[in-house]
Amino acid sequence: MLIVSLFRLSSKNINRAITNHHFFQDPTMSEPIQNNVNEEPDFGKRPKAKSSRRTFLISAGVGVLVVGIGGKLGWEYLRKNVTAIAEKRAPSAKVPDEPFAWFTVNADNTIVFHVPKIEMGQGIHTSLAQIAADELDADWNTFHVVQADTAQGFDGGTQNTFGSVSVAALYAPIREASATVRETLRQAAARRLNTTAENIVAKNSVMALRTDATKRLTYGELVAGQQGKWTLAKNAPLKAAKDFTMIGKSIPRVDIRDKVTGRAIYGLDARLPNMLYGAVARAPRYGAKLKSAQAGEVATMKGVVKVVIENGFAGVVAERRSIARAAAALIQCEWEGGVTQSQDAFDALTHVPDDKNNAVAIQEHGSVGEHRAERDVIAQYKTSIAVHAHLEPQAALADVRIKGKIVEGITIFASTQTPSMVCSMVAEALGVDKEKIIVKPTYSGGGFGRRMGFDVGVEAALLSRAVGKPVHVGWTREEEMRYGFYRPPTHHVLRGNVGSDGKIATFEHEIASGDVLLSFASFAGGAVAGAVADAFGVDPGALVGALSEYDVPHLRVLSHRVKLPFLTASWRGLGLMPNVFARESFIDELAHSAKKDPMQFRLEHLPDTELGRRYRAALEQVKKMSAWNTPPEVGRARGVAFCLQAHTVAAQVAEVSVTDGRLKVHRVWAAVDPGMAVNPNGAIAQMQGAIVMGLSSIFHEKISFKNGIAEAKNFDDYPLLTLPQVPDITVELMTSSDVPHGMGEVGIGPIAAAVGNALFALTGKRMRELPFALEALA
Amino acid sequence: MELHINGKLYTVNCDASEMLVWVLRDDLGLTGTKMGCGAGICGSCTIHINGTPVRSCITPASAAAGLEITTIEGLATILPDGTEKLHPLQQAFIDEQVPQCGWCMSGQIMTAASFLKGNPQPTADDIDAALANNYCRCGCYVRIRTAVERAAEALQEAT
Ligand code: FES
Ligand code: FES
Repeated sequence: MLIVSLFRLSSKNINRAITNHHFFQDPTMSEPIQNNVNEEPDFGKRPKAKSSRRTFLISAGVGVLVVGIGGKLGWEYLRKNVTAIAEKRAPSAKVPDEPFAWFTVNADNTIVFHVPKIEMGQGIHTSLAQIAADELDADWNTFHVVQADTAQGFDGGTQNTFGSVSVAALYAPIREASATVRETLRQAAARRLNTTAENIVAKNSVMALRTDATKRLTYGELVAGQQGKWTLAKNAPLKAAKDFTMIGKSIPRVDIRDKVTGRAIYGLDARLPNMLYGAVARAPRYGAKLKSAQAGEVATMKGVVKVVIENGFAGVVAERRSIARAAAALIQCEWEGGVTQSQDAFDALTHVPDDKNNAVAIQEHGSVGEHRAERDVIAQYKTSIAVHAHLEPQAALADVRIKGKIVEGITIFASTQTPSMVCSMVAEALGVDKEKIIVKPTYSGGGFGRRMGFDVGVEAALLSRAVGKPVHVGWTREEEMRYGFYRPPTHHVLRGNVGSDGKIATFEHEIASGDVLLSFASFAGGAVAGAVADAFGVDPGALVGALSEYDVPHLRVLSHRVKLPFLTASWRGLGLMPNVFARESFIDELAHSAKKDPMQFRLEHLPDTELGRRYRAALEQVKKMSAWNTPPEVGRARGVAFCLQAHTVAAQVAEVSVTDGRLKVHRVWAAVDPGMAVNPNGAIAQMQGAIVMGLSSIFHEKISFKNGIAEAKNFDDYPLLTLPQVPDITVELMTSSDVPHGMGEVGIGPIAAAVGNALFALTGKRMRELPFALEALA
Repeated sequence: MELHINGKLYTVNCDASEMLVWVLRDDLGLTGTKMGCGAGICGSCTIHINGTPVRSCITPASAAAGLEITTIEGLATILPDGTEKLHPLQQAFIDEQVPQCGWCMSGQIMTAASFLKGNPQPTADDIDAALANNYCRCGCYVRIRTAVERAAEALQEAT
């Protein structure tokens, strides 16, 4: 249900609201945050604490409407969506059971858009706001985007943010909700102006008479003047694409000013009065359990408020962050179990086995077995374990309010991708009803999959409960490198051959990957879900990007699940980068084996389907952009690769050189078909960012374990790509649909193969590992 | 200890060895200065001390006592009518729509601001070198490069 709540603002609040875009601060609800000691920060208070300031013109029951999408994380989610994910479709939209509110239309003609999705950098607040404001015919200057918390009523599936499906999944529901509000207001205007709705034109938050624009009422005036309950318009028509004013335009990001002035608030920035700081004792080996702990002298250290030792957890609350960290490290802990092996053991585990009994065929036609040949090309590819390296370490501020021994309520501010999962995890850890917990997502300093399943919320909540005050926990980079979860290592065996007609006759791809999404089933659903996941045999996350796009008569893709003793899970694109790297590099190997131009070879193997035509268009486009048929300057070479993810097609060409044994990527061209782009400039930014992240994996990123713990502690051991290594990147967007597809991850798919293929063309050396074995170029 | 930050005087009560980034963020609520590594590698925590870029995560607060500290919160100018006039770099970062998650941006902008003072007409290679130790995990680098060029031009025109 959608409840359009209507409030009047004091003029003071309006001015503040307009100059302050702290997104999670509902400008209608309370004062903007002053994150400054001179004025008490108040953003932690629940809005209702300030309700006396507002005039309720019309309260509840103003309007009711059901719109939403479903889908929960965990086993249920996986079960329902495994096919969808494997087939690269977004989970479908459906009506939820829970009521929730999208908009607050205010009497002062401001509109607040309560956005369920988390802003991690992908520009989702802007894109979703564009869709809403366009369909609402709202005035963009007085349209405010506010992050919804878990009390807003959106279900977890709508709020959780991952998999590049946010725009695709919410495009229709938001338009429908917006159109309903618009038509409801149009009908009200018609009544007030004694005419019928067809004679009213909506524009910039104003309803005006078509024949006489001086007869007009703002949305705010309509709200203020409404007598009695609203009846919402039924079957409100959606705008025609030709009438869009915001959708499809490169509107500046709504969060941008706060992000260049330092005003944007993230999990690590969350502050409340009287807050304290927490830190947690960490094991010397991954996954080791706390057997016993003694506070000892730590309890009386200056600045230590409390040492908390309970149920396999040991942490410290202190007056300062530095004291909490130093003290936590001094707690005398005894650990048991946990990982003891080193990297060679995990490398051995991550291997396509000879025994195919437990393999799952995820794509198969023809009969590869019967068409294997002497001339088969066989190659193996590998990708490393990696961390997310989101630049803001995970952080949460928990405010557990207790009376006697009873927890009355918990508020958690956190930079999380999955607020509902934080809610469940905290509920379980503290034995508190979920209804008592509100998670307020802040901006996230990058997510890339790491902010799903979110340990720090539980840690902050345990510590806050122990002292009855708000406690903030922010991880260090070392904690991020060593105690989170990882991008799983993968191993690929590919085999195929090209017939005398120059066509690929057989193509086999066997994938062995650590878990990607099944890990969350045990995270969110407890032991039962974990057991079911174990029986499942195939991880839908590991299969993203695994299905071959090519038209080949005999084809088989097999998946092997690798169980590792440490947690591996989502990382930008899930299986996309490893799978596409292996396949698109191998296709290049087949092209060279047949002495064909790799671009032409790809174009000759596309299926005659709608998708096949989209692949062709993207490849032709990038061929043109990169002037493929004109040789690059001496000492350089180009490589091509493409993929499909979240319905979006991305084709890339990279141009490289090697000087003194050092690889330089000079240029990357990308042709992208995301159906249509809600915000083209934002879509381009996603493509640029994904290419850079992929390049970082090519050049640098590798975690290795030693005696059960990651060797890297910080960026000196695990560097990221920096500006001097970044090529010029040219992106062109193509339109093939009237609905938008995913943009957040697809760009990371082809880049490794595009660069590797270019390197092969230049040097004859084939890169079959991520990161590349660049020493081989010396 | 007394700290001069963005033209204001603050008194803080902490150990001299406390790193400036946490004093700014936790004691003073100036959370515009970010933290990514705590080890002087990523550049997120860059501020100016007497105009020089400094990594506040490895700079003890005592080292800044009595000196002029500028953080991202103090980079823009507040005009007499109370409106905020952004530094040309902040404006250029908006014009080029640079930030994604935004976490690295204070550090990028503070590093670039001090760099452009010393090198008002930089080449693209100069810019790459000046920002070579500022991480951006979201990969906004291409736009950072363009925005710094654009800000350099704007600063040239203004003088
Ligand atoms: S936080 Fe200071 S350099 Fe990374
Ligand atoms: S914008 Fe996210 S780290 Fe730079």
